[in-house]
Amino acid sequence: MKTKDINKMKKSVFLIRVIMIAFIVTAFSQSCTKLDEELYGEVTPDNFFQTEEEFISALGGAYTQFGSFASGDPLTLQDISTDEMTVPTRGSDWDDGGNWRRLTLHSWTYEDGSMGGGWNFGFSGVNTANRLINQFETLVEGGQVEQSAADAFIAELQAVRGFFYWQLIDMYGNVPLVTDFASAEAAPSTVPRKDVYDFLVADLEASASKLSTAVDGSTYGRMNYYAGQTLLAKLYLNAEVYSGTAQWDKVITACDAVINSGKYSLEDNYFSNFNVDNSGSNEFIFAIPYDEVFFTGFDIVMRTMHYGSQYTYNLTAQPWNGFCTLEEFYNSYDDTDLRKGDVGTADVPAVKRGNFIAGYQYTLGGDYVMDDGYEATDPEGAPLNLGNMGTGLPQIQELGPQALRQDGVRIGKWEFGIGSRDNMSNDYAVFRYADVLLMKAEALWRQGGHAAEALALVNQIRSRAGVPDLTTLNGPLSFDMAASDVDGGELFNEIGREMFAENHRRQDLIRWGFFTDVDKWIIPFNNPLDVMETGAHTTLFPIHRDKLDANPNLTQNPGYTGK
Amino acid sequence: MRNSILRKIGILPLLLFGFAISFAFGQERTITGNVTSDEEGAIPGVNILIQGTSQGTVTDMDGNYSLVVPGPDAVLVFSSIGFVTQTVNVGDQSTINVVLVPDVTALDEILIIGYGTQKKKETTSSITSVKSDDFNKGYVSNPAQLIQGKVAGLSLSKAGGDPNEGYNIRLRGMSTIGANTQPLFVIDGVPGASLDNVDPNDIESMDVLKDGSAAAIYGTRGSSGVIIVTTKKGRKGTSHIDYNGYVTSEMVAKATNVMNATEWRALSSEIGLGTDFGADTDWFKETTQNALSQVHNLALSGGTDKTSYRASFNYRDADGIMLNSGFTQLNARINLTQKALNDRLTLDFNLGATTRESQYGFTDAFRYATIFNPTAPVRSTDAAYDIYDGYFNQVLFDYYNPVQILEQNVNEGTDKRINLAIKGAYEIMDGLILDAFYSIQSESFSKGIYYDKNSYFRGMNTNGMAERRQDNAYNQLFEMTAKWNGEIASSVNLSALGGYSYQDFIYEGFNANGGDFITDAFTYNNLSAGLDFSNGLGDVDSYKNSNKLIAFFGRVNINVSDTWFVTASARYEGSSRFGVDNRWGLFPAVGAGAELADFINASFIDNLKFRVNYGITGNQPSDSYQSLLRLGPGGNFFYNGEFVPGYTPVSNANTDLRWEKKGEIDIGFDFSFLESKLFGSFDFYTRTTTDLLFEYQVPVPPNLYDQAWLNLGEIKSSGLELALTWNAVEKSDFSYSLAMTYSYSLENTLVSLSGAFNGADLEYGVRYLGNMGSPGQNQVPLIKAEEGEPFGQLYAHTFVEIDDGGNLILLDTNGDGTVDPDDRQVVGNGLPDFQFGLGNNFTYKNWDLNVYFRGVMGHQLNNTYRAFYEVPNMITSYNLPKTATDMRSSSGTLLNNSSGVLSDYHIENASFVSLDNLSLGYNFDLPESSGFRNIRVYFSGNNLFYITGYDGVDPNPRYADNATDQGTHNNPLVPGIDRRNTWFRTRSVSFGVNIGF
Repeated sequence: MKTKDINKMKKSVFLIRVIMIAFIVTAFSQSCTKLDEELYGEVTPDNFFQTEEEFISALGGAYTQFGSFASGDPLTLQDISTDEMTVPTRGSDWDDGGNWRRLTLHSWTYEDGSMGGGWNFGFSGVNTANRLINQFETLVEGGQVEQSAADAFIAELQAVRGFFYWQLIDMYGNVPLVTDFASAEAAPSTVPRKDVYDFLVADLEASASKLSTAVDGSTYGRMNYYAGQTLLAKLYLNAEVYSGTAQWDKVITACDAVINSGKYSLEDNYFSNFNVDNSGSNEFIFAIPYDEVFFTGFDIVMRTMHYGSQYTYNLTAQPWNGFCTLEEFYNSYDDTDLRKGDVGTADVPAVKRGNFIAGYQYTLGGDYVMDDGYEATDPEGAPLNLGNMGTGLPQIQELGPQALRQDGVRIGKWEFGIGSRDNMSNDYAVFRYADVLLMKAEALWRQGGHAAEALALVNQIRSRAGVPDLTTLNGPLSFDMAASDVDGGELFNEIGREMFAENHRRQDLIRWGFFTDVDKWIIPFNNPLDVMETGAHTTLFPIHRDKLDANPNLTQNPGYTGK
Repeated sequence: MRNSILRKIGILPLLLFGFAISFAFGQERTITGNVTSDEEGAIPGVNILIQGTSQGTVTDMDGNYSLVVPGPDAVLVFSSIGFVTQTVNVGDQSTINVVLVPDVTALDEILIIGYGTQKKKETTSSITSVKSDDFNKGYVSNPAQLIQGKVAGLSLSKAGGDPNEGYNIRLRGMSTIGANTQPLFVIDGVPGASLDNVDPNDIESMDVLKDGSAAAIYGTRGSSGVIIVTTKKGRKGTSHIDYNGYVTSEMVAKATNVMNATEWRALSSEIGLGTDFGADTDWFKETTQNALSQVHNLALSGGTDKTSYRASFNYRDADGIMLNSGFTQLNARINLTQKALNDRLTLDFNLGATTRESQYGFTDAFRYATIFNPTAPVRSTDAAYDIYDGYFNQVLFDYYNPVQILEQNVNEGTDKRINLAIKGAYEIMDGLILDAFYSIQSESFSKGIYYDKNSYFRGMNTNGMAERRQDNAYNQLFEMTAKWNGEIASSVNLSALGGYSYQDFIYEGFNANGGDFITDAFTYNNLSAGLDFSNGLGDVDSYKNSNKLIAFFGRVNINVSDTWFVTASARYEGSSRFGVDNRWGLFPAVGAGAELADFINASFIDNLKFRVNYGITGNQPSDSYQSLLRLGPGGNFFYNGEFVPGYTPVSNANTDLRWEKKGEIDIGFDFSFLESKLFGSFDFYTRTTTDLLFEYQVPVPPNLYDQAWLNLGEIKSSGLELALTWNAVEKSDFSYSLAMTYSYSLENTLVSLSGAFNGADLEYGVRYLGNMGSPGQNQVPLIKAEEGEPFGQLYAHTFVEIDDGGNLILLDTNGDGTVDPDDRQVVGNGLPDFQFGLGNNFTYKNWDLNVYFRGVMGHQLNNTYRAFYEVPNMITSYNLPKTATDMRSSSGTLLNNSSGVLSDYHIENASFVSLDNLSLGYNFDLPESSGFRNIRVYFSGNNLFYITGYDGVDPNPRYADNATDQGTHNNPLVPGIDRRNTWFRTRSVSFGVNIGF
């Protein structure tokens, strides 16, 4: 081979190399090492909060947190632990590792799911409010929002935060107090209940004047001034439990702010507050505007009704045959009480609706609803008779596991619409005018010397319920009727009857000092796994294990496992 | 080169001598023919000798020969270095074509490794290559099945016989919990390609890269192992048509052990519970079918010097054993190779396409068939059942007529997959090859479900219910590599590789469902006919997300005198899924090996290679955007009289989110004794995964959202693996070989689940996971995950007895006087201790027989069917397992509880040995004039029997939870749970034929 040819070949090899290298270099420089995430179906703070609409929807984040209040863990914790509601174990259904029985028997453990659920409910609300307050403050600093406009939003968020903190100190007592999003500690320590309480009332009192006093569409479903006052009344009503010092005067002041405004009144019909079409009830001070499409989460129909009840209401889903009331509580209503409702008989369906659904059930076509899985021991056989009414048997075998599938009077307080979906459209009153009247009545009675005034308020409630006026507030307790009269016993009973299933009862039992009398309203069945707990520590729930694991600075409430 | 020259020189005198002899006799004939091998096509230089003489010839460049033989009794001996010598009786043939079989000693085997190939003797890693000849035979619907039991340490598990469900694949136990637990499949060079786009018939080999060092070149996705799938290609000098086809009959091998009507009535009358409806129904028979399947594969292949091709067409029509289930699949694949520029440029083109139409059936139907009252009729003429279109139903919790479910409702879908790849390799100078590779894969899944207006299961409540779902996935890959191979000093060979890889992935889809139809006629094909949509009650959602991986990688292999071997590799890779501060990671590996046979003077040792290596591999989160603070619609908000959407955080910012890293040491031997009569390999591995990716509960505040993907925790595992092949008998008309694989798990420990995030210490020393579920066993945990303890601890109460009152007595473990949730304890483990595969291959004349056993030992399963329904009182609502009548006190009192309580009584040992595969084949002797290359017929049986004490349907391990409604779906921390949605176990028999033209 000639040298010339060899040179030629070397040149061409060199050229090819240069081309290859140039290609590689070019390829790399063309964004081939960039790893930015491309977003399509996601938003981050970088591409959100650009328009007023987006801004308002962020505020909405504070309110969507209320979604599980009416029938989620807050209901489970505040009502199933009391004498007004239980979840019997029926055969294999609702055993769930004894979880529901433990709630009724007060022997819950720090691993039970609802203990974490209540905490999540409270803190996700608190945290969202804190985050949004911080966001508004930042926007004011940045000049994007006027101070005056931001103040109203911030005050509203303070009231929202106040609500969730109230639930937290009510359920768990001692919780971390986090009020500023920007400077929040990573693992905040538990703060005594009294300190949280003190912060809350001061915060709410200070911001009250900035809340809207409008009572119309612009504040429906939101915290206005009167909702703020009702929340304060709630805190003061339970002040002795929360802080050690009673505040009856302040309860009255806060209630009067609502009553004297003249903007609210009792509806003529109790059930105007609970019907499917109950929006804008005159009694609603703060309501959650549930809707089967737009605001879901209220599914008490699923939790309480029998499988076969699907055909009574033409429901789109099969209910779960769970939540019931307890026999003594049901019997604490006079039969003439408009709130109680009729019993379906073997001949005709119930006529008047009430807080309860009892007796024979009929399909829309007028036939019996059948329980296809009835037990051989069931005296009724297949026709469904909720609570075994009229059989002389115990209506409610309160726990089981031996409970029959049709045992237990059901919760019918909120109307079940024909063709209702699992998520109901009834709005749900968090704060209701009748409650304000009863709070004021209790505060007056507690102060002493105002019994007549208190009695008048209670009789307002009773008269609407179609039951005779009381002449005294004393009487035997609804869960212990055989015992002698208790001071204020009838007031206590009336609060129960009126506020049934509205996440009220546990607070009342604790404030009245009856919560640890659980052995008076529950007879534990002979299940080797069941234990009843009557210790004073049960007035606070334990902090769930997951929460303790995630934050070593949390302190478990006394009497419970966990550090 | 040197050898073939010698051969030619040596043979020339013989040739001349042969000519001379042939003149001496008169009866001679001329035989012509051609010698080929399946691997290389025509073989030049094959030595052909007439036995007992010194007469002979050699083949020319095209493998042709011509030889004069003395008469019909002559025997020809074909021999060539590297091939097994073959003898042929001449008889009256005039054309004798011979296919030589390569004579491969175990360590000459070529392995496919990441971005290249390597001789087995040179590798410093634990790699097992399974070639198509060794694949499992018979009814194979998923390519992964081809190597089930063939690779020590690789475990494939699938419970039940759902033809539309894939396998759970695990290599060497647990190495991750929150990221991808399945090995990475690299198909013809495309990492992450879909195995579902490859027909089992088209696979040439599957190479399993088991250790961290081998997988580290794929760094970021290699933690759970890498399986390289190579499809068949055309060969130079051949022109073949092959047809493979078989028909299969699949039947139920085992259904749940529940009572028949007679047994049900006996228990019912004993306890006075339950309603007898008078019928005698075998619900399993009513909901199953004898599944017939047929599979056809036609492949054309061939090649010239410049071009080779293979095109195949596959058709599968498979029934499932569930009524109205199965699929039909069409698949085509084209592989083309063209050489150019003086053979310096090689272009490869691959195209694969699949369309699969599936009928999924409804798994729930088997669950209801199991618990449906055996005295209930399937249908009833009673007017009360008109609302169910005459199907019998009862209003009970979670209880629906399974025949109605399967006959009235539709659940089907079409999957389409296509992938296209083009690769150019240019040999820029001797030993240096540059190549560029581009591939695109597109997958589309469309699904439609319709529940009839009269279907008590889901449809009736909503007046018909339709769902339509479309999901698409795309990914494209661009890679460039440079490879150099050469001698750098005397007897020191170096091969080096460097490369760049870019891959992006896009996923998108939408879903709509709603009900309220006037007619069932549309099924899911006309959603707007459903009034739910008009009424705002229909659900609609859509999504799109993407991610990217970019990497630089390199590898160096050094071979000194074929005795010492060193490998080092590294991959530097970034993923868009990580936090901005930590996107890139480095994944290095080193390995060394030595051929000890060169030092040990023992004649029985052919090879004995010792190797040791260490490699780091990675894993990324399964979802994108986990490092970003994102907001999402979290329900609506009532604002000024109307609902507006409220936006809330749905994930926390974690700018530090980074690679999970697994470091692995592998020490092993590859050996071959007695001239390859006995060969195999042995490995010990130990691996530690740190920066474990997992979704943790995090404190709120200070976090915005209570869950976050974090890099916390550590897990550790180690084990032993042995693969052994013994060619016990190797005679010309009879052979027997035994191949076994054995893997033993020494350790599988959850070291830590704790760490710090955002300033908070997170301590998850003990976590209780899983949930039994409804009816009645919600919040019953199934698994205790505990730091410092093994994975998969099954957690339950301890059964003591049924007392004479019929009470269930459980152990008061902590002795506090009451039995409460604190008395639960660890009562078993869901992960196996050891597994083996045992293959027996016989050939006798034209017959071949394979018998393949598989065993999995030492795992327990939570038999949830028994745990839920082994309660006599439940006969009021459900049919019961036969074992429910065993729930008695010592004096015979039946359990009088009415709810299932999980205890160790229901946690069973699930060790088993199964006859996975038995196949018997016959190869016909074919005269040359027939035009056929080969015809083989075979009979094959799959999963013929299981030997096990497990009472449930299928004792195969459950590596992750398959319940879809308990929040732990696919969670590998929740193994060992036999859920009620398991399909029945099946066995199948096939008859097939392979024809070569």
